[in-house]
Amino acid sequence: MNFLVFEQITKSFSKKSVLNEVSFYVRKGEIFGFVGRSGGGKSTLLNILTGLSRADSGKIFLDGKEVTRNTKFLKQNIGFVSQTDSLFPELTLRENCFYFGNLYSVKKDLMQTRFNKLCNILNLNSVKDKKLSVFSGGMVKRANILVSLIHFPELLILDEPTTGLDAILRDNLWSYIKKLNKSEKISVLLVTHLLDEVENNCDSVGILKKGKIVAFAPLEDYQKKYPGRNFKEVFEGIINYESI
Amino acid sequence: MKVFRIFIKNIRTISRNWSYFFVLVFFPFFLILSSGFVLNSIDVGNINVDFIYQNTNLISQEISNFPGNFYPGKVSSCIDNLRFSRVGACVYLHENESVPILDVYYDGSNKIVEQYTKQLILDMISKKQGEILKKNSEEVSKNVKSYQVLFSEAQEKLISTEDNLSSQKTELINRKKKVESLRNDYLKVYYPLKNSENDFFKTKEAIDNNREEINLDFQNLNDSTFSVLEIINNLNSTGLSSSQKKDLDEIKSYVLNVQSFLDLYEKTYGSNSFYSVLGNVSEMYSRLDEIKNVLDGTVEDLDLAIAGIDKTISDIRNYLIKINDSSVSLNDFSNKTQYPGLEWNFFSVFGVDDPVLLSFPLLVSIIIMFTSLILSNMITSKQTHEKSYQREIISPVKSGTFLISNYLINLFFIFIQAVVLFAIGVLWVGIPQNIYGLYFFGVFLISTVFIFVGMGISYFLRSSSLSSLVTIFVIMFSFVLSSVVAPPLLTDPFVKFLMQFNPFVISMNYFKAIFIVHQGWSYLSLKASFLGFYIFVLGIFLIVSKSIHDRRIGG
Repeated sequence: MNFLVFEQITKSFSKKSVLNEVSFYVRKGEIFGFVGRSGGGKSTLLNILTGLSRADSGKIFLDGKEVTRNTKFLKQNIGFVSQTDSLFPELTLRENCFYFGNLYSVKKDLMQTRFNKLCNILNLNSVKDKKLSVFSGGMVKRANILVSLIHFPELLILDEPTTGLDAILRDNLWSYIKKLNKSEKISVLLVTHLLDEVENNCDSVGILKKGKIVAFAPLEDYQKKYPGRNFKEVFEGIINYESI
Repeated sequence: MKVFRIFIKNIRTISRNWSYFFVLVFFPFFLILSSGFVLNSIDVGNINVDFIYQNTNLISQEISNFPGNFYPGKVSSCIDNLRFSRVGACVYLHENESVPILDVYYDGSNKIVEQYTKQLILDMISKKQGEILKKNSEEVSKNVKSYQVLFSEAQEKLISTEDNLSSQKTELINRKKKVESLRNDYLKVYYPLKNSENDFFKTKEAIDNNREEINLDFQNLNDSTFSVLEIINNLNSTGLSSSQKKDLDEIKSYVLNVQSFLDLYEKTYGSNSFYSVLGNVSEMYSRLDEIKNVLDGTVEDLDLAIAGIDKTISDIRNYLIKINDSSVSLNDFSNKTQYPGLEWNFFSVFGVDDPVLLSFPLLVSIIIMFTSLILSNMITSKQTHEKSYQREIISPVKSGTFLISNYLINLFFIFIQAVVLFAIGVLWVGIPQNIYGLYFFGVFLISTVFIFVGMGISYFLRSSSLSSLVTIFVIMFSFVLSSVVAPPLLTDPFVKFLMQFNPFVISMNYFKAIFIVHQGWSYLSLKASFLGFYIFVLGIFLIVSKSIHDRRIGG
């Protein structure tokens, strides 16, 4: 079942086309990766997804409901983790979490339960009531994910989630993301330029080139089509020469 | 509810930063204290004045009492000191044609210092000149009074002389009447005598001509009587009868009578007296005209004397009028020259002299404006430039909710300051307690205006450093267009017109009205309306700015 559907989404800035009839979908419970070079339209796509920007044309469906203009529903049902820390360092994890939970109108008891559960999953129990200013880099990333999920979103959007983390912490973080994906049945949309992350963690991948989707398929389809090549080679080939 | 949650979050994020506490609580407290210290020490007497003189003769008693340093030399060295602010003013004492001249050099780079210096120098000079003027006017007044006395005495004497002359005139008129009466009586005799004058002289001439013959006849007659008497006596001795004797006696008696008559005649006419009388009468005739002329002349002289007296009286009266006019003029002049010393008093219409209280509206306005603008700009800048801001705006919360809560957090901290300022004002400065309603209402309006400006700038401008600079520029502009740089009373109408729209000026006037003039709601409603209008306009600006800012984030 397609949880998120983009249909012919177009966006221009000052008559310059940034997204050109972009269409893709994310199935419920899958981890979908979006890759592309800088200036390919990834940020604009994320802004439209998070409701910060509106498409000039095309349609967006979330869980079967059109949200092209109804950004409130869209916002209520997505969790967003940016590549940089987006929490208040002066507040504790609990305060951050409850503050954002409140913005999403989550009831206090539900929020409490959710907080405890996510702390368990993301292994943040020991720092629940500590200010984020004392958190390590990996903990901050996990805290961001925790806060992004406090309002029970069914789609988690990750924008370069492992930026600034070493390889061990990156693997570690992905293990938590996968854990959440499995236990909470959360669909994940990953936007990244780290192709190995996509190769290792995503179920489907879309490749964006100059505002257009040049490839969109389950990861295994890429492997079938380009046997013996890793995803990086596949990506380079597609970006430079062809589309699927 | 969400506004409250955002507000609490903001409280937490800001209150956990001690530098904010320092800026918000300690700084205003320190600012008020230091301002009070500085303001209390202001005195024009603190201006150092150097007096440079050409020669010691120029230092009169009055000038030597001026506070300052006196030394001989050239003014250029003092001017050098003045340029480097080592002295406040240089007064060069010299003279031009024996007139002492004071050339005052001051620091013209600072208008306030310039005014204070001029005030000090003018105070010194005007005080001394006032004393000199008073002394001179007293001297003049004294002389004028003595002249007034002299005039008065002269007036009295002239009036007395006029009275004497009038009585003399009356006497002369009476005498003239008498002389005229005498002359009339005389003329009554004069004209008949004059008419008989010719006859008299003819008679006299005749008498003079017959005089010898008469005298001869008389002598003969007289001799005859003696002869008769001798005859009679001789007859008596002859023995005549008694009847004869009797007849002889009767004849003798008769002859004696004739003799007596002749004696009498001789005595009367026979001597020179008769002719003397005739001569006298002749003389009298000759004197009649002289007497008449004397009488006529006397009348004329009396007329002349009376006319002379009249003229003198007229002259005296004219003199009296002139003296009277002069006396009136002198009196007026005396009144004018009676310089009462021209004492002057300065009264503050507010009945307070405490410089801290008088400056308190300015201080409160500065702190409220400065804090509102800087704090709102800082907080908004901090929020919008933090990554968490993106997380906030992608939440399903309306943009206005964030605006309101951000505004409230600024207002909250400014109200903390306002409470501290009010406490300082009541406890140390002496502002009345019962104005708290007006005070906090004013703080609310004024801080809202500046919070909106600070927030609006921060949302509108992408760069936080640029928005800080623009905010500082707004603060500086508010200062420039207010009484801080130039008192509105001294500026031209257009600048004055612009100044009255400056929210900072409105703020100062508002706080002045409640702290010092003790005005109520009715007076302040216009200012409040002005501020309300600003809030409305700036509110729109703020909403537009945030919308532009958020759209910018969305690409």
